[in-house]
Order: sequence, then C-alpha cells, then structure tokens
Amino acid sequence: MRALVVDDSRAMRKIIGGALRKLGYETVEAADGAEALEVLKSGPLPDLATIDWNMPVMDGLTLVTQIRANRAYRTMTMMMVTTEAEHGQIVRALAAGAHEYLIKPFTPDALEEKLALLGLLPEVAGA
Amino acid sequence: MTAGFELEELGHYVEDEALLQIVMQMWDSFFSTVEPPYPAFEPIGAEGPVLCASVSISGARPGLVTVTVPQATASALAAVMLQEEALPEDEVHDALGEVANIVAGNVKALVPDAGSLGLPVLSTATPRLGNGAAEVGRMDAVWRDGWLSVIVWLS
Amino acid sequence: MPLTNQAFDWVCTLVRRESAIVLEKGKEYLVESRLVPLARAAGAPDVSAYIEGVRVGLDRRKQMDIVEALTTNETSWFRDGAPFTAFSTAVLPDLKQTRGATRQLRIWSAACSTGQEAYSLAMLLKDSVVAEGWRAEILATDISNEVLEKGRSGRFSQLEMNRGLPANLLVRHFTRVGTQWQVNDDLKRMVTFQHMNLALPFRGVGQFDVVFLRNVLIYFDVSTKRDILQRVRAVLRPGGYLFLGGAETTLGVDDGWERTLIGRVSVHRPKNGG
Repeated sequence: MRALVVDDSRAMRKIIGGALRKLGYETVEAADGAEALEVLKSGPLPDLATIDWNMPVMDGLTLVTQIRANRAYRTMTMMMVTTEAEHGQIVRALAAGAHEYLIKPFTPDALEEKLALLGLLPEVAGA
Repeated sequence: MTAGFELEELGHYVEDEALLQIVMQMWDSFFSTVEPPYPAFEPIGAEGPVLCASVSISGARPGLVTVTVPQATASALAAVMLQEEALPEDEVHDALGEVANIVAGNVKALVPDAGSLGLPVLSTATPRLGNGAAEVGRMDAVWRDGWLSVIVWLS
Repeated sequence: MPLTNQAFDWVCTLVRRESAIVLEKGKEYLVESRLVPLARAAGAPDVSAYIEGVRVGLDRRKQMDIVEALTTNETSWFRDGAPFTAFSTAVLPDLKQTRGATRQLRIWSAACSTGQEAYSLAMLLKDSVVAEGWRAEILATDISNEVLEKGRSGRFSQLEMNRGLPANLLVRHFTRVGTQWQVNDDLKRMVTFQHMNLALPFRGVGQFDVVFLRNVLIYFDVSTKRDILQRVRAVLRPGGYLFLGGAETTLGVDDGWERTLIGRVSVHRPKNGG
C-alpha cells in the first residue's frame, strides 16, 4: 500500500512516514497542500493521505476540500494528522471530507489503531 | 482593574497544570524512550545560547506560545524525537518548531474563541508579547543537564 | 542502574506469553520506569534485581504484577476491533430476535479498567437498539477503585482519545473540557461502574445477555478460571454470549460452553442454553 504524508515539518514527515513504512507502506511526501496536489497529479494514487492542517502555501483543510472535489481521487482515504484539537475543528475536517482525524501528539499505537479502523493496515503489520 | 481581572480569568484557561499535561503527553508520544523532564519550581536562568520556537494564536485573544531550550538540549531532543544522532541545524530547528506547534495547538484548544495557529518561528531569544499581553501560563522543567521553558502569552 | 538485557528479555517473554503484547527493543526505559514502584515495594536494590527475584521465585502472583504494571495502559476504544464488529453484525441482530418481547439488554464489561470497553459498547447500542426504543444498560466492574473512579468520571486525556476511537464518534459523544474530553450524559447514563473481585461470588449483579471478560482470566490459576467461568454461566441468560480475549479459551477449563466463530472471532455460549 502507498501513503502520501503531507506535513510542513520535516521531523513530522519522518515520524509519520517512518511509522507507516514500519507497518508495510511505501511512502511519498509533500511539504504543503499545493505540493501534495502535484504529487497526486504525477504519480499513482496512494491508498492513504495523512494531512497536516497548518501549512504554508495551501493548508490541509483546503487540500482535503480540493481532493474531495476531484472524482479521480475518490478511492484515497484522507486522515488529518494535526495539532488542531478543538471539537469544532474535527467537525469541520470531517465535513470537508476527511475520513479520520488523529490529534498530535500521538503514539505509533494510536496511528496503527486508526489505520485498523479504516481497514488500511497492510497484512504484514502486526505479524 | 478590569484588564487585570480579565487576564486572571484567561490564566484560568491555561493553568500551569494543563501546560504540564500537554508537555507530558508530548513526552509519552515522541520522547517515550528516554527519561521525562521534571518540573522545576522556579524558572531556570538562561546560561549560554538558547533556541526558541514560537507559534502565534490568532482570534479574539491573540497570543503566543514559546518553547525555549539551550541549544544543546534542542539537539538532544531532536535526536530522541527522530531517533537519529547528529542532525543538521535546520532539522533541529524544524523539530523544535514542531514541538512548539503541537504545544500551541493544544493550548489553543483551551482558549475560548481562538482562531488559527501561525507557523513556527525560530529565534535565539525568547520573544515577549507587548501591547497589553500577559504571561498567563508557564512551565519550566529540568531535563538531563539542560532545561526547557514553555510560556503562554495572551492579550 | 540500567536494566540488564537478560532481565528485559525475560520480562518481554513473560508479557508476550501472558498478554500477547509485544514489548520491542528500545522499550527498556518503559519497563524500568513501570517496575520501579514494584521493586521499591519489594525492597529490591534495583529493577533488574527485582526481576531476577521474581524469575527464580516462580510466584505466579508476582509475575502477574509485572504483566499488569506493563499492560495497564493498553486500553483502547473498540480494542482489537473484530469483537465489536462481531457484536454489532451478529450478536446484536440475534439478540434483537430473541429479546424482542422485553426489548431490554444488559451487558457486563468485566475488568472494565477505565471504561473504554463499556463506553464503546454504549456507543454501538445507542446507534442500534436504543435508537429503536430499547432499554440497554452496561455494568462495568473492576477490582481497582482508582480505575473505576476514572471510568465513572467519563473524562479521558487527549492521548486516550486518540486510541482507536473513530473521529465521527468522538464528535458525537464527547465534549472538550480543558485538556480532557468528557463523555456526554446520554452515554454516561447507560453505564454503571461497580467494584467487584471476580474471584469472589458475584452478588446482586443480576442476569446478562452478553458478558465481555477479555484478557482477565490470564491473571488467575486454572481452578479459579474454572470457578469464574461457571459463575459467569450462571448469570448469563439463555441464549447469551460470552466474549473472551483473543488468546483465551474455555476449552479444558470449563466444559459448559460451546464455541462459535463469527468471522475470526470466537464467542462462547452456554451449552443447552439457547
């Protein structure tokens, strides 16, 4: 399975990407929403995108909205991974089209459990 | 004084205890392989060069969250966070910025009618927020032979 | 004094055998910090010496203290996923048929810890039978008053909320209070927390349609396990269901059960009970 990790922090891309690769994912990265759209245009469609909220150029909520508006991306699951922690923000992200929401900080277990909820744990994981 | 009363009220939203909880949750998440920091009763004086990552909060009560550490502590924290020794300076800055971003996001959730977070800004001194802003929450802690200091300003 | 490799390896093997939880290399610090209170209480000079003492002592109770100290934080919402899917897709539809006359369900979350299992069940019931006007209640019991108090408060930290709770259920059933999240009253009213030692007779708990007794029998020896399973059978209504942990079985312990597979999940039902 393939995942697109969208976060403006290189450290966070390393942490999320590393955890996903440990679970059996192949990962690609983007540092903001606009870059993520470029990656989606140029490569095969990932199964999963983890999306940060606050980023330069194009923020995560806008990215979710744009991905949602494009039928070609329908099969990709979107999970916000962000420090935005208010009830109302989670509601907004889900309304925009995000499928799941993980609040930073999180443990690797929490990421894995969210993927299990989404049915997106590669078979090799947990073996 | 009305302003004083309001600031006291704001301090109520961002209690030092809440800040400690936020920092400890970050520890349990990204630094769980090493010993946790322990809270200090008094602010620790800055000796030698420090690094500060700050993130602004917009909204009805604009604010600022700062995370300040000695430079050596910043490098050690980044090494733990990324499980990688001898990281280049820009990656250390990025990691500390992300720490500040996470603390600020969780602090923002405590402040009523808060707007959005700014992007992390790195500096070599802890900025102060002027124009009627006050320090409403603070956490100082000792970690290994360094320290960290988290301050929340609201106006 | 850092943990010796030998002590760490022995603890990993013990925990994996008893709870199926895998402690990876690099978690030495976790093991040490969690076991410091036990080592101190036992008067051991350090954690490695304490572990060595338990290893050679062959005292099961002390072994389980170690397992417990290292696994108590493993509580997630909808833990292990599949049992809750089996509950929703097979057990509930069946009970809707067999309990149609009374339109009431009672469920027991035994060894409930801080209540994530009980509240997870409440969320599923809320969206199914409760929405159709049924009455559903959950009894959540544990031996620790500390965890019961926390479960009863219905307040969970951000980190706890991140553990396996679907975001759409979080926004529907929880409200943020400071750094924590509070379960909403309608869900809270469905769950009653009560102190109980499973090794002693169950007094005044009533009858249940479903019992969740997951990952707790491991803490008891075989004769106590048998005794508990027999007493669970006595409080289970005819046609009721028992859920055990993924690595647990009634086989060879108490013969009064038959096992049914729902997907990959084993559920246990009293023989001649339905």
